Amino acid sequence: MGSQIHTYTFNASLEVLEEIRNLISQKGNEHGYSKKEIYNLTLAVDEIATNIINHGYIEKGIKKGTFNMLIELHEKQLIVRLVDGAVPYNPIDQNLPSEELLNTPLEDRPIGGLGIMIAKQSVDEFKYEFIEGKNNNIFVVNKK
Amino acid sequence: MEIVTKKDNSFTVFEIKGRLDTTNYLDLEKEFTRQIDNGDRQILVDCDRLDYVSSSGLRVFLIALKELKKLGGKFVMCNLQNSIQEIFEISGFISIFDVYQTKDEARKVFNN
Repeated sequence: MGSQIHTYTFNASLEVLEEIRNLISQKGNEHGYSKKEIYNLTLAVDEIATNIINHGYIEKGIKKGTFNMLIELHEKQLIVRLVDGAVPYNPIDQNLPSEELLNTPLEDRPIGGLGIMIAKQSVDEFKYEFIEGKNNNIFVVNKK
Repeated sequence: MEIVTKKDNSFTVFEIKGRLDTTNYLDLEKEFTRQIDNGDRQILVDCDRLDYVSSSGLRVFLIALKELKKLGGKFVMCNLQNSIQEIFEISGFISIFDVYQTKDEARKVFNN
């Protein structure tokens, strides 16, 4: 089987998250990925897409923003790529809660960064690239 | 997501069904706040039919836990599905929440 790339465009609104999850589940199922792999991938994409929509568009007052999702099906990999033209933002650079922080008393812990940490740990590889003026958040799942 | 609340002796059971994510976490937050404002100090969250939690949902659990802890109450969870258990482990939440495998084990935590 050769590679396939499916490209979708979405409005930058939280209502599209459901469709994103459904599309990933459908493509993942069709190509033999396990329920668990698909679940973890949808969770990772959900977290980052939420951040893009909220912080990249809604909080900036951008009303008619759109972003793209590409689902790439390769022989040994499923790759989801979120491409947006909002302000450059590299989630990998953000400080993740450290082991030390996770062990500090609950009352003293900041609450941010959780979604990014979940995204990182839910897929085989989570990458960020800035290409032609656009944020690319890339999620890779290897076929087991 | 559907939230069902039930009084069980001295505590309130929250059954959360379906998906808890960024589109509906505020509904759950409001419901926790309402019950706590009504005087509930012991809450058991039954996750038997909770299929999905994103970080927005985790934050709501954390807020409720903090609030109840401050008021001298208890916030206990049970019946986590494997996928949810995994998120609790990844996020470190597993060490800050009281999580039990069954409702029967969880209910022993509460004072009558």
